[in-house]
Amino acid sequence: MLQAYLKVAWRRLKARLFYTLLNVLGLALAMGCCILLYVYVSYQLSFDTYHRHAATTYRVVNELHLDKTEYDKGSAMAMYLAARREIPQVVNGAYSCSRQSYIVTAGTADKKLFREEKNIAFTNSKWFDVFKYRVVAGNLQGLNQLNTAVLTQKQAQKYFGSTPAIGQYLQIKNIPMRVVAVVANCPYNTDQNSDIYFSFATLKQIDPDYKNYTNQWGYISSVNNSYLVLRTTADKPVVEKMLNQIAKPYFGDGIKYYKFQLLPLTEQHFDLRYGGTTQKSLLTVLIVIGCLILATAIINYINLVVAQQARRSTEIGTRKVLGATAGRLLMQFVTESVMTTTVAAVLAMGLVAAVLPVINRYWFSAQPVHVGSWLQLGLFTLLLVVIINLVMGIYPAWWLNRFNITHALKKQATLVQTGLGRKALVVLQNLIAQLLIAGTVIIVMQVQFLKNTDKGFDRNMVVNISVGQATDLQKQRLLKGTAQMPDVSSVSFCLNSPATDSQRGATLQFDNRPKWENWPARFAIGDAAYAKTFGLQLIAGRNRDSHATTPEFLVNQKMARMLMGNHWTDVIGKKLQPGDPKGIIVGVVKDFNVHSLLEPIEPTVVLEDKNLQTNMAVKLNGQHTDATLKTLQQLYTETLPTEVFSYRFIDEQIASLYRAETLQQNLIWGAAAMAIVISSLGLLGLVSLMTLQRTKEIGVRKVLGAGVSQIGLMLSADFLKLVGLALIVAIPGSWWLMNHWLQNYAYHIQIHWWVYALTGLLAMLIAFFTVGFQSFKAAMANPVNSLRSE
Amino acid sequence: MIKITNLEKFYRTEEVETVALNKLNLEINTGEFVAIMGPSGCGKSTLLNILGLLDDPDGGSYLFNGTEVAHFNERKRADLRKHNIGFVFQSFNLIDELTVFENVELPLIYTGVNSADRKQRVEEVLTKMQIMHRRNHYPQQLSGGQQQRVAIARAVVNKPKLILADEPTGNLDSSNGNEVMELLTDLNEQGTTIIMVTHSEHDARYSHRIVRLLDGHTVVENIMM
Repeated sequence: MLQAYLKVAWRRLKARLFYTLLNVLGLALAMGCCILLYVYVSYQLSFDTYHRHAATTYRVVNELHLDKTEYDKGSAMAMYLAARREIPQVVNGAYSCSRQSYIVTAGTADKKLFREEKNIAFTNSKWFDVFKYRVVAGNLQGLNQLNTAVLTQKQAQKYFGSTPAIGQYLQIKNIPMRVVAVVANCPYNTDQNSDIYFSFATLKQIDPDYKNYTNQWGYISSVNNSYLVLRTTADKPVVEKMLNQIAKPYFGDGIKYYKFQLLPLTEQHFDLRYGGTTQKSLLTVLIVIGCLILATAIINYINLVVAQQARRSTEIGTRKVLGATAGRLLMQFVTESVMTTTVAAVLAMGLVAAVLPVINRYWFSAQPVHVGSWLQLGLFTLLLVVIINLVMGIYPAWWLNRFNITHALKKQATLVQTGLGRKALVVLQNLIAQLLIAGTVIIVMQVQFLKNTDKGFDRNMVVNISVGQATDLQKQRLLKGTAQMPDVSSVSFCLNSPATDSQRGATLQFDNRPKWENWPARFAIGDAAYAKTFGLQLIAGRNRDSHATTPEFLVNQKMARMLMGNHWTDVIGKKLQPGDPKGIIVGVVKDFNVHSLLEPIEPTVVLEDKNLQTNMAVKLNGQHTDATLKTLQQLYTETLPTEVFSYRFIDEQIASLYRAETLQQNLIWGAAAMAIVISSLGLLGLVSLMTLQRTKEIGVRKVLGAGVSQIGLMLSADFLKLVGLALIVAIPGSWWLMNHWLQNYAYHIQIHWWVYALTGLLAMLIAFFTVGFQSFKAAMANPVNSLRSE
Repeated sequence: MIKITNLEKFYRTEEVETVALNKLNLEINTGEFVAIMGPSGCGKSTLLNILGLLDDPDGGSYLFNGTEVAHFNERKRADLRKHNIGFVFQSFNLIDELTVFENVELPLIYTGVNSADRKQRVEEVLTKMQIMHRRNHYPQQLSGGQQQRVAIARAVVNKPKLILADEPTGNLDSSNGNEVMELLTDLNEQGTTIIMVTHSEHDARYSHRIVRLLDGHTVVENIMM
């Protein structure tokens, strides 16, 4: 019996090749989209879920409740040690100081210098107890001794080539580190992705800040990570309470501002407050978009089935007369849809395999997406096929149930009964496409706005070059050298450009006020040339003098107003203590934004801290950029033989702040394009069937004197009306949704009426070109033929 | 074989009620060949649909081989239909996706005949209808006369006791039409009861009896000699 179903289904699909192709293509594109979105979503959800006790592992984080709440994912080693010692519910734990950057000396025959950026962690063997790593060689216990290192395979390869790494030495700051173990490379789906692990005990020798780390409770920094493994998840509230209790004696009165909490390991990838990189809401939106695109393709299929119903009803009637049961007839429909979807599924998998590397390269370059398991993907595709067929089977089942043989055999099963439903489906489909088109336009505009809006400082042609721990003398030599380069207009030694993904800051004491201000200010750290190099505009007072005996500060206008209200210029000459050194405010600069534009302007102090000024920002005129960069490299290598030259343009660095938005833009753009293509395929199929079914009407109209353009427009107008109706529904829906999204940004665009005019025009044009050709072709047919064909 | 008494059928739209069959009485014996004639809209096709158990009457009685079937449910009607009645349509109603062989085989599949028996019976009937050489062709590849012969083959393959033919020559030229009528006559001579709706006086002459309908009534019955 199955063979008979398959045979007939195959012949039918072959006989209506055009419609079969439209369906297969539409479904393949939609399934391809769904599979890709599944790959993306499941990849994101798999982050750090595979560790031994992932479900009961927590990161210690804290909230600092000042005027505004600050979130910090870091925690002090002292707290970690106390928690391990005093809280019985904590059964294991690990601590690391990660995202460190150093120049590493390594190599077997000749020693080479390597700049390692933020991929070094200091820890001990406990780390590998809590997090799952595969040991390739050596013994992790060695990391508990002084001057030892563990490398990932790729890092060992980078330093020592094919020579076994165990027993070899690396050097940082002239301190030797012996490689005691090699572990497998980090999987893609982890946020714990250091490549080099040095023994924690050695950190004291390398960074004096860590001398008393075991009892410095205030040493909370986002690079200091504590993870605690609890007995059960139910212990979380108890342990949180105890953490706050044991911290109390060490923070004194200040404890009231802090709230220590536990962030589940499996949640840290999604909690943007604590450095997570993916919004769960984005994943939800993607799942919804995937469902909508799939719905569009299913609507195509159902619409074509409905449109062919008149023709099909005679066959069904005949089969019923000959004794077929409704169940058997349904099986015939289902066999056809299963065949169509299976072919589409195979095509979709091929499409995904071909497209994934391309979108990884262009869209996900910052964080490429990887297929966890192809088997799982195959099962997901199978599930998709089942779901699609269940949905697609509903219509024929309903139709067969109310089927009337005598009407069918008289060919009276007209489209009138189902016309309304079909129109509603076309409207729904267009609604989806238009929501996505409008969404794309608005997101593209917002991202462009974010990238290009004046942030109050100059980002063009400024190059950032790390100088590591260069001495004052070396910095002088660099300054002297760059002064002779005609293309360099200014050079500043600083910590960062004004806008970066991480800022320093603290509360401060102003003038002779007895109390510290209850809001934190941000710090922009750099020498006196900082203002000139980044084009900060002085609006009152003067610039700082690097040689002044008392430290001098610039503040932004926002901060000046927060300190002195309308008399904000009076801050000049007043004392300020932002953290350690006390100094004087000498000038006020125009407001500039130290964040991405997701956040409003914050009070900011420009100050000097020589220890932290590890970057050289060079403002170029932009005339001979390549040559200047080469000369810079030469000067750099001569001056700093123990450093590695590398540079990055500030505007690129700023653009990377909007990585998430750019990704959203790309994803929704892709989804919109797919929805348009799929719904156009559907329209094409429908209009071709409709003109076929209206052949006689067209013939009669032509005999009665209608012109080609009148008939062409008549046929097109039916569809364009539906597109127009969809637009009317799309406008308020999209306006509400997109305004909701824009509220995430402190700085955002306004949605103008023309966005929807553009969306409508685009949708109309696409629909017109899709249906126009078929309509006019039908209109031009010879009426003699069309009348005879009935 | 068939006895209908006071049979009624109405068609209702929102505003109008049309009487298709008005207390119709008719008796047809086993082995008869009856032609039903009348102007368009007189109720011929409605009568044929009720006789074929495709539609149910609104009133009256329908005895089929002595059993009252007027109010059988869909399942029972389908069962009775597939074992006892064969249909021949004006527009053939062959299934485009199936070959000649597969079209004829279809009723046997639905009555659960096994594959070997099916093959034998289909070949038998195709040979009898002189269309065996076209067994692997699709309906579109045949002439109208050939298509109707396939349709008749399909109607008789289950060896029904009754064949209902709705204007079987309506879409055929006269020579093909005559061939079809000869086939039906042969079947009748072999014992199959045939009821045929037709507009053609010529075709009606092949039958034993002509029943003329007007506005849902039997007007006159002519016995053919």
